[in-house]
Amino acid sequence: MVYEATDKTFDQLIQAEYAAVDFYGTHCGPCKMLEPIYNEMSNDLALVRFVKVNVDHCPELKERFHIYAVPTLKYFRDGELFYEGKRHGPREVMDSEIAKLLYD
Amino acid sequence: MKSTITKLYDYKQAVIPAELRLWRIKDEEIAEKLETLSRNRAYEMEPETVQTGDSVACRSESAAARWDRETLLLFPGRGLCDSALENACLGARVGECRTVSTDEGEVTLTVKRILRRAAMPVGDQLVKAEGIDGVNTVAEYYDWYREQNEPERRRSAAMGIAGNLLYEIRMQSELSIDQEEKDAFVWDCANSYCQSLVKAGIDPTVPSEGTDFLTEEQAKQKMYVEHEPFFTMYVADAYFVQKETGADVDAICKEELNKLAADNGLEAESLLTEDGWAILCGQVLHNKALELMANYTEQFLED
Repeated sequence: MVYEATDKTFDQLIQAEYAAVDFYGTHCGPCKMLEPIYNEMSNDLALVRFVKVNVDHCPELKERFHIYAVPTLKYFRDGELFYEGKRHGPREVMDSEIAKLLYD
Repeated sequence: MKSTITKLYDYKQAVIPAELRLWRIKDEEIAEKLETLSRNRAYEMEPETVQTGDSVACRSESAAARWDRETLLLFPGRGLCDSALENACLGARVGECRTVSTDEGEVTLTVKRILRRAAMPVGDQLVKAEGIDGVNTVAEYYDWYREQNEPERRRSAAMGIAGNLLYEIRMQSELSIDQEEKDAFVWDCANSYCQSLVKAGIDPTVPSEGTDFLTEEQAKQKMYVEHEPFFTMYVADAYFVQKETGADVDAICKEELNKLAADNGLEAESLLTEDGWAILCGQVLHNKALELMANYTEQFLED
């Protein structure tokens, strides 16, 4: 399950041991390509909280996390930013990114 | 317009490739969509023992700091970390301890929680859960999905054939080109493209090949050559639009630009006086030509 966060609910949603956040845009093609992969990961990796933020509707979060391009992925541990996603793409790439959150 | 087509290619005799005629949605696509819905509506259960595919939270103890944690998440079979660790908890129950050797030393895992996500089976219950008005069975979902998406697919296929035919028209028709008109159009395209590059921080004088920088004049000349084909497209589209509608293309262009300007809170006149008017007019006419040609090409689509 992927939780849709807003400016108001974001901080509460990332209060998990491990959380991934996908900052996306309404009309962003690469974001649409990433969506099914992200959904699939959220189903496969229960116990990791998967969150997404539509930056078109969340100006405060966009500014707070300096989102200049979408999609941007960020990974949190215990509510704190732990790892800035470097890459996004096919499942193998996404798995290697989330492994950094879980095991580095 | 002074430039025009003097002999129109007989596009009605063109052979339409079979693959361009297809537009109907196949059952496989809808089945895949249902599979996605079933995964999105997965439900969680806490099984007695760990199996491949489960999510497992463990307390892990080790001399290696990396593996000494209050909570370590493991996903057996996913290959996210050392497979020895992932597989160590297979078959374990909550509270059970397992010790495993890794490259970084021994790690003792105590299973704290096991979570399994099971996809909701594809069936009428899944379809009902989607809450679509009047759609309560898988068969109804298939019909509904087609009703929602096929009109757009059909039009898109007609546009695809239209694009092919318009290409053939501009490649195979005979044209009479007014050089002054062409220069005005192509230079406007080249200059506005050059300005866009500069605004984006790209230096147009940097050569794509070799090491010698271009002069500004050479860079613009290069862009002129690159944009020349757009003029042929513009002339062919204008000819086709005029032939099909009987209307003056300048008037059509202005009407479409008025709509575009209104949508963006601008004045049409300002669009036409700024650099880039040629690209705008070319695009407006091409869209109109595509739309008109697509009305004709609908007859070629599969039944």
